[in-house]
Amino acid sequence: MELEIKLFASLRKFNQELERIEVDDGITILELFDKAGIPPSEVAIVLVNGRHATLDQPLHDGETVAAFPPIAGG
Amino acid sequence: MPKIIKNEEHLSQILEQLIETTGEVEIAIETLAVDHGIPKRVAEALACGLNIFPKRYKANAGTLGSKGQKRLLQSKVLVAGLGGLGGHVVEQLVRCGVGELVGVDADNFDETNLNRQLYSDINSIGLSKTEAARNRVAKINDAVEFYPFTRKLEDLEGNTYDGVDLIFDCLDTIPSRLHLQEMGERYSIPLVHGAIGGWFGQVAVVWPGSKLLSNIYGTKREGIEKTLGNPPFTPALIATLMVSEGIKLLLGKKKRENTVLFADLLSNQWQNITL
Repeated sequence: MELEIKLFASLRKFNQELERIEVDDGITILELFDKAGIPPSEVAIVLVNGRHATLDQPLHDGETVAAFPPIAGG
Repeated sequence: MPKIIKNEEHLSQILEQLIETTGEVEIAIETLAVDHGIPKRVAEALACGLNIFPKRYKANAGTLGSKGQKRLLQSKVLVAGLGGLGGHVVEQLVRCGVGELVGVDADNFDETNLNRQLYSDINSIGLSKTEAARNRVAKINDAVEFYPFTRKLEDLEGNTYDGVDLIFDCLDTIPSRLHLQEMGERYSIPLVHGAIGGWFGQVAVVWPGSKLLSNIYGTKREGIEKTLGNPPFTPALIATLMVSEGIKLLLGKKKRENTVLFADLLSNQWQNITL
């Protein structure tokens, strides 16, 4: 199946070119990050098709995964 | 305060007469405050109630209106953290004419603050951030009252939140931000949250009960600023967005929603997400 990935802010450095990725059916978000070279420790928020998701959530063909890092400085 | 409300009409009439006789709004406001023992911010609010703008707020008039300016002068806001974000936030709130500011920070300025923290300079190294903010507020607007608390947020007494309409989260650690979220929830006060790291920043309004900060940070207890640091331009931008969100909240122009605005200044991308 094919997924769309959107990386924001500092996460872009891990995979600048990545927009679409071909993966096995039923892959979870955590497995996707592993495949795409994104360390889960650097991710605070994940959205699937714009909705808040957890790392163990299985993905479906055509879905868009967006990831944001934790920002906490003041 | 109830006494002032009771006398509002009477005091407004006196102010109107004073403006007529002196021909000068500022002198009339000063005279009313001194003669009747009321804070200057209250006298200024009375002037706005008469649709008369003190000169220092004239440029706000078209945007805020006299009712809005009056509302801001009657507002009390707590700014938690007076560093990169907090300095810029205080600066703008004072110039907006928010009547009362509670400033909380336990730290003193050091050299590493000089690149971005508005109230740090060569002469203020070693000075407490609350003291520096208080000095600055007094220089800009003598009608605004600034209450400094030179201590950790976690050590604030509950009554510090009395009468506070809005809290600005300008803190720099996730645990202290989560503590502030809890206080906002306990005292039913909305938070304007801002955070920065490198080229990146985020802004959100945390409504009491929404647990938005818990959703943003999940299990994370450190942010990207630990490796990226904080350049001067990101705090200034994020603080500006925070203040405009806060002013909308105070003026009742903000609808309840759980959104976070991300700013990526490196690739010039803005993303608004709902959690």
